[in-house]
Amino acid sequence: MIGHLQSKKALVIAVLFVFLSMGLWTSAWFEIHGRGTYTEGIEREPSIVIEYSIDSSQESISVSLENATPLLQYWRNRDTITDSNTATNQQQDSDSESSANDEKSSSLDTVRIVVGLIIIVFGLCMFEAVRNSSKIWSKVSFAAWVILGLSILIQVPMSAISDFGLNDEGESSTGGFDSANNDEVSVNQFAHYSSNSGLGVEFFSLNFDYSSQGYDLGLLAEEDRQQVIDNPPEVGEDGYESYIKFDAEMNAGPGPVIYWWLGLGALVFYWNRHLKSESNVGNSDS
Amino acid sequence: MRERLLTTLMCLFFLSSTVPVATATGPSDSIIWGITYDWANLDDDQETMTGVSPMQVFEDLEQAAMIAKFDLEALSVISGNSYIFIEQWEDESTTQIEDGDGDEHTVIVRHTEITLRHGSRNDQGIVTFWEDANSSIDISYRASQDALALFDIVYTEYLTSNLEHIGADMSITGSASQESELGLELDLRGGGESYDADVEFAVSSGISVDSITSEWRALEPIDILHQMSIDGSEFDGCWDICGMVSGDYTVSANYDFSLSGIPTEEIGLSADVLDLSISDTVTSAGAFYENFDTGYFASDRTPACNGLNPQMQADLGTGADVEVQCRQVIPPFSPGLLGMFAISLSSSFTDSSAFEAAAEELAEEIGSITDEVEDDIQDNESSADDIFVCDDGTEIPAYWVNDGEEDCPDGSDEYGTDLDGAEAMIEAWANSDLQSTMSTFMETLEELVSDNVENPVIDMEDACLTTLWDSSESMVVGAAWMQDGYMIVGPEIDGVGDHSVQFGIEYLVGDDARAAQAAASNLENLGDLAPPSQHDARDIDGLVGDEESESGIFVPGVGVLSTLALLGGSALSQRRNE
Repeated sequence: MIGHLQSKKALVIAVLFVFLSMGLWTSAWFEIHGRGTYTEGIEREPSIVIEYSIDSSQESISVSLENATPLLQYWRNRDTITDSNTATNQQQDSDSESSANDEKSSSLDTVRIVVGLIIIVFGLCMFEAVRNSSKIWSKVSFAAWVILGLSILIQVPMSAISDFGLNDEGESSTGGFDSANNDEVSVNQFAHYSSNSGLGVEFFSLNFDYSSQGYDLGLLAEEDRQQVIDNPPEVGEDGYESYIKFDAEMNAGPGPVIYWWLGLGALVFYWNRHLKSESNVGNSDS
Repeated sequence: MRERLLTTLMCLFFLSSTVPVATATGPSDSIIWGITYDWANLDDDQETMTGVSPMQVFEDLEQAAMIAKFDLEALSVISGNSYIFIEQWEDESTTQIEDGDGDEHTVIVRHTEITLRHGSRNDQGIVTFWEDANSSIDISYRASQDALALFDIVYTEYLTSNLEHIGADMSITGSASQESELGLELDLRGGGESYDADVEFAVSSGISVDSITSEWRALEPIDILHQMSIDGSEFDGCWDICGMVSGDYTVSANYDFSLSGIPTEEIGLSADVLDLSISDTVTSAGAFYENFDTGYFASDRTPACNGLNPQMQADLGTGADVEVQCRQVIPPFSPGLLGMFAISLSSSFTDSSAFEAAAEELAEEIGSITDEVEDDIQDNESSADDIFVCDDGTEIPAYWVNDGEEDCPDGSDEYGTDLDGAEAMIEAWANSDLQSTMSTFMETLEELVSDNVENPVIDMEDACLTTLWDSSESMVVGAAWMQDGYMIVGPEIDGVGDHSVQFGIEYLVGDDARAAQAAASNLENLGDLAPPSQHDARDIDGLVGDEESESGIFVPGVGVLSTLALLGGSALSQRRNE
């Protein structure tokens, strides 16, 4: 009777494992939700919303512009202020970026293969642990579960970051603002530019806040720019119409995969506890 | 027991009076008429009118394709309902108003209430597949359009006892929207090259009129109405005595474009799937003050209805027959209604710079997409004067670049383009039997369609399409479509029998129209006007494969909650077993 119950329990564990593994494999592994809003300078506070996700088969980006009309007008109407050196460098950057992109897909694909292999190894370990009621295999399964978690939580986003080229030295994203140096306004887009950012951690994910402001010289006639560079205009003064403020927040972290992974962890933990209590019963009987 | 029953019945009676019932805003003796149309009748009605069955055309297409030895299937389905009701009545007592010059007049108050409801869903699907030994074309196209229009217009005009216009008030509420989706799946092969894409494009736009109220006052009485009963009457408008129209509005407009499945490698992105969406909603409130003109008006006997009596007795649902004439009144509304509607709507939507900006931006966006496509084409079509500089400095004509021969000493002119693959594919198709297949298809289709065309049941050249004019009240009191002296659509008229051919259009008058109008007034969304349960697009879904799982390997989707429940359930069952 006990043997029958034991085999039934093993079957339930095996079915649940397959079920949870399938859920883990098919759900989103890594997600970024970002929203940036132009809070000053553009009518009706247009927003840019970006959703990025990675799963076992593809990498998806969704970009949406809300209250788009004034934002499209702003982008269309502003002059881009660059010097030739910057332009050349940008060209070179874009060339190197495209060559990096050519090689890029292999990084994430490799991680996908690694995650797939870990799931298979994890499955085999769990199978052995359940079939033989083996404590050693159960502990190995636990180790495989931890490795799987590390792979999903760290390796997947790192490969995405590597693919985006954010780990390379270079200009960081400024939400459309091109300048980070207040004093070099003669060749930069923004005068009196300032920005601040913050980072927070929340349940396996990172929250990133960013805020920047400045006077977009591209919105001003060429002859009016120097005046704004010399003295930042106040509300109501000429040139104040070029004042732009941008606030953004971004959340990056694992997708629903985390729940499946935790479910698998609960399963491993349960089996470990079950084996432990079984051995305790065996010891007390003897 | 009996007392309790009586009390209950009394309570039910009183409660029933508080339940909203279908009642029109006009009085019960108003003149009301309306038309309803169920769009599910469209195919049959088209066949009756043109002699060509749309379904037969699809069948001909498929048969022609089969004879030409490729697969082609096309399906289309449309559903929905449209309602328009016009109700008119006059107040029993007169009132005093001032005209635009401040002169006071005793006037009759005439009300016109227009209720418009329209909702439709339209889906189309086309799937075609052709292949030969080395090439293939596999196209799946799916499109759908949803349209919705809900408008309530209340027009109150002020007339002297001689039916001269002193002015009018108008109130408009409503909304109109449309939503289109287009999906295109391509799998093209040929010349060792292949190209596949799965692109979806959706666009929706709409306007919403929370409220527009406007007021028109003429500078002096305008005499149009009572002259409309005279044959050949024509008016060029009221010009300098029309006065001004002023009003307030709260309106909004919105648009939403989305494009998904964009081939990212074409724009240098690394992601597999890129979805783009651009949306905006512009709300505006304000006031307007514009010059007014009633515009052109004309009235004459309807020429195509000459066989009918000059005066006819029509049942307009008012209890007694009304004497009407077949009169072509242009426009078929009271002077001022159309003009005020146009000015009120256009002023409300053009008065806001945000609307103008949105319209300009849309035009710019569409223009820039077109320009980019044109630039791409021009970039690939070098003119004879263009020069290409080889890597070693040698100059050659640009049109020698990528022409298949190395013209630069270092061969740098043959670097290949994205179009090489497409050219190879097109060349492979040109060398295949595609052209002869298409010729066979076109010839067969022409033959099949010409066989299919029959004489239309209704010859529109003989149709009497007319408004019905009540000369005693000087107003349009209905419309009719008669053929060979028989009624197809319209009210009951003495001496005019029903035509043997009927369409899906229903013409209602009196209490029937009043009840239908009240019911239609409560239809406020697409689900009400075009219920999904009456729109069976499953065949189209099946045709274009919408029901198939998008991922290659099917894995059942499982929710976190269901999994937790399963875990909990199995844990409990284990505990119980133990």
